Amino acid sequence: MPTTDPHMLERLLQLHCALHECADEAALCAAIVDALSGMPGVSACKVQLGEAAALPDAAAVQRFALTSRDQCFGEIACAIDDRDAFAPYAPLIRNTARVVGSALRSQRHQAQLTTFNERLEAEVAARLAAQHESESKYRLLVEHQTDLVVKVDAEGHLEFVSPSYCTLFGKTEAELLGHAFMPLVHQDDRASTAKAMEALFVPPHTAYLEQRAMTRTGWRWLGWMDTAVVDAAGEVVSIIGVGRDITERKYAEMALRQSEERYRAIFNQQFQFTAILAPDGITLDINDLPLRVQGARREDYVGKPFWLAPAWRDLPEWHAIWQARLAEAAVTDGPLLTHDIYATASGEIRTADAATSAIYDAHGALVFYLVQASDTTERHRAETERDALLDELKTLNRELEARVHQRTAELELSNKELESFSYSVSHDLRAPLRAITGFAQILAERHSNGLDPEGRHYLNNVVEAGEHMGTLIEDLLRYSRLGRAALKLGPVPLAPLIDTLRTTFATRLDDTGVHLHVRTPLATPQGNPTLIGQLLNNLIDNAIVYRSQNGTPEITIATETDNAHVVLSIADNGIGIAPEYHEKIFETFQRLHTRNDYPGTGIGLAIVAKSVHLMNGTIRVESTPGQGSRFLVTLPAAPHSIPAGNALQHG
Amino acid sequence: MRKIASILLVDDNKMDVELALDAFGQARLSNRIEVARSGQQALDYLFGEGEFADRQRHPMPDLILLDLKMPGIDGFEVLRRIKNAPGIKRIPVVILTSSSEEGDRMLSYDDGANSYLVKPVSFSGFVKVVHQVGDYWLTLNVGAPPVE
Repeated sequence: MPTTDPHMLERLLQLHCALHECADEAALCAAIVDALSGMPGVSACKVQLGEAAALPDAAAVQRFALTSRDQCFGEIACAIDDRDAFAPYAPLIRNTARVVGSALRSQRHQAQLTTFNERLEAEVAARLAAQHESESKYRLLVEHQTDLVVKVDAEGHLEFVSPSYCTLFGKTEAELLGHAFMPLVHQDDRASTAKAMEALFVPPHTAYLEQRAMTRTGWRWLGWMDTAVVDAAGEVVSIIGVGRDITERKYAEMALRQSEERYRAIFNQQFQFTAILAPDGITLDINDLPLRVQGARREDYVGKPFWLAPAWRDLPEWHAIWQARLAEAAVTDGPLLTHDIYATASGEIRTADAATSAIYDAHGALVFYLVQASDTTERHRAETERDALLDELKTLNRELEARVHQRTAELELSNKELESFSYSVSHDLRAPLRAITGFAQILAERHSNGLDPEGRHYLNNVVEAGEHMGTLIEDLLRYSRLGRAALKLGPVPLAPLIDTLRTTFATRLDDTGVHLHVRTPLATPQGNPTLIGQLLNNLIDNAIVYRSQNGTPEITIATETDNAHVVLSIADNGIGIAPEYHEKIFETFQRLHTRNDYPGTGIGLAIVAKSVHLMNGTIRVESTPGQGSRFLVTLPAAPHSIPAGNALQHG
Repeated sequence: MRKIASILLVDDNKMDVELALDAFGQARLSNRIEVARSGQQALDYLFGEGEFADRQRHPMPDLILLDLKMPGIDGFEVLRRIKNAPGIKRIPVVILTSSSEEGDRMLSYDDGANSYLVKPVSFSGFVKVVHQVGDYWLTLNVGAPPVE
C-alpha cells in the first residue's frame, strides 16, 4: 500500500465540504480544481462541465468522467507528469468524480423541482384567489342586484329564483321552486312569451321578451333576457332568465309614443307647409299638407336637399336662394320671414310666405331647420282683385265726381239761364203789360163817356187783369232774384221789423178787423233782415187773406229758442190748411183756392220757403182746417244773442 | 230869362214813348220833348250828326231820359259815350227802365248815370214818376254851367 499524502486527506475533506456547501456548479468546479491541484504526479487540473477539457501541453492526461447513473455532466482532466506518483490516487479521483456527478445530478434535479414547485404554488394561489373573487362577485350579483334571475327547466318549471324575484312576487323560494312560471304571466302576453321561449330551442339559444306579470303590487311590465343552457348533445336542459321591471320605461314609452303620435298628427294636419331639415339642408320630414295640396310625394322631399324638392325643380335660381337662406337663418335670431314662389306638381307657379328657423340645442349646436310656409296666392289674387276693384271704384268715383261737377255746372248754368230767362220774360212782359194797363186806364179815364156800362165793365176787367198780371210778374221777379246775389247773414232783431210791418199793414188790419199780437220777448235769429222782413210780410199777408169770417181774426207772432235755434211762429185762427197740402203750399204756383175766393199769385209761400232755406233754416206748418194755421220758421240763433225784450223787462 | 228846358227821351218802345209823352202831358210839363227811337239815333242827336246838326231845330237837351234795353246800341253804350264826351258829359242822365236788376243799377251808376228810375207797370204810377222827375231835375236841380 503506498503511503498516503497527508495533504491528500485534507484535500478530500475540503472537496467533500464543497460538494455539500457549494451553492452553484462554478464554485463546485473551483473547489475540485483546488483540491486536486498539487496532487502527487499532477501538474495541472481542470474541471469542465458539459464538454471535454483541453489540456494540450501535458505529456499525459488522465480524464475522469463526472457521471451519475447513465448521465454524464462533464469531466475532470489532470495533466500527469509522474505516472507512478499519481497511480495510487487514480481510483480515489474516479470515485470522487462519481460522487461529484451524483451531486451534480442531485443538485440539478433539486433546482428543477424547486422551480416547478414554485410555479405550481403560484398557480394554485392564483386560482384560489380567482375562485374566491368570482364567488364573491357572483354572490353579490345574485343576492344584491335588483335584476331578477331565474332558472327554469325545459318545461318552464322554476329551478332557481333570485331573492329579488321572490321580493317582487311576494313569495318565498319554497313557494316558487318547482312551479311553472307561466301562470304569473298576463293572459294577453302568454302567447308572445311562449313564442319567444320557442326561439330558445334553436341557436343562438337567446331571446328577449316583454310581458306583464302579476306581482305583489299588481301587474308590472317585465323585460326578460333568456339564455338556454345546452348540454353536450345539444339538448336544452334549462333556461336562465335575467329580468328587470320595465313598467316605468314601458309607460314612459307609451306616453312618448302617444305624445309622438299627437305631435305627428299636429305636424301632419298643420294648415301650413312644414318641413324639418338637417343642418346640411337635407329634408328629414315634411307634413301631409304638400302631399294633399300639391300632389307631392314624401319621398320627393325626404332624404334630399330641400332646394332640390319638386317645388323648385324648374326654378333653378331658387336652389341658390334656399342655400343662402339656410345660412342666413342659422345666424338669425328668430324666424327668417320671406315672400317666396314655388311650383305645384302641375307646374303652376304660386306664391307663399315662409318662415325659416334654425333650432339649436342647449349646447348651442344646430339640431335642425324648421321651414313653415303658407300659400298666399289666393290672398294675393284677392288683394290684386281688391286693388283693381278699388282702382275701378276710384276711377268710377272720379268719373262720378267729374260728372257731378259737370252736372252741377250745367245745372248752375241752366239755373242761371232759367233765372235770366224768367227775369227777361218778366221784364219783357212788363212793357206790353204797361201798354195794356196804361192805355186801358187812359181809356177809362178819358173816354168812358163813349162806352156803355157793359163796355166800361169789360174795360175795368182789362185793368184789373193787367194789375194782377203786374203783381204776378213782380212776385216772380222777386222769387227769381232770391239767391242770385250773395246773402249777408247776421243777427236780426225782430221787434223793429215787426213794428215796420205793423205800420205797413195798419190800414189792412183796420179794414179787415184782424188783431196782430206780438209775444215778447223775441229771440234774435241769425239771418238777413230783408228776407226775414219779406217772409214775415208774406205770412202776415197770408194770415189776413185766409182769415176766418167767424169771430175775431187774430194773428200771433212769437219766438222760442234753445240757444242754437230760434223758432219764429206766425199763428192765426183762419180757415186752415188740409194736411195733404202742408208741404205742397211751399211750392210755386200752388194755390188751394180760386182767385175769386182769395186773391194771390201762388208765389208768396214759395218765396218764404226759399228765403228760409237761403238762411239755413226750415219751415213747416201746423194746421187744422177750420181752426187756423201756425207757420213755424226755424232759423239758427244769433251768436250770444240776448232777447231784447227780456233784457228790457229785467233791466 | 230862362229858356224852355228840353228833354231827350231815348226809348225804342213806341207805346212806352206814347205813354211817356201822355204822362208828360198829364204832368203839365210844358217842356220840349225830343224823342230818339234807338241808341244810334240818340248818339246822332247828341253829337249833331246828319239831320240833327241844326241845333235850332234840335237843341242840346237839359235832361236825358234813357231806356237801357234797346236793340243794337243799348242804353249802357249810349250812357258811356255821353259821359266820355267833353261837351255833353255834364247833362244829367236819368235811367228810365223796366229793369230793377241790381246788376243794371250798379252798371248804370258806375257809368255815370245821375239817377235810376223803374217804370211802374200801372199808368197812374208812371204819370206820378214822370211828374216827379220833371219837378226835380228841371226845377229843383241846379245843373252844371253850359259849355260854350
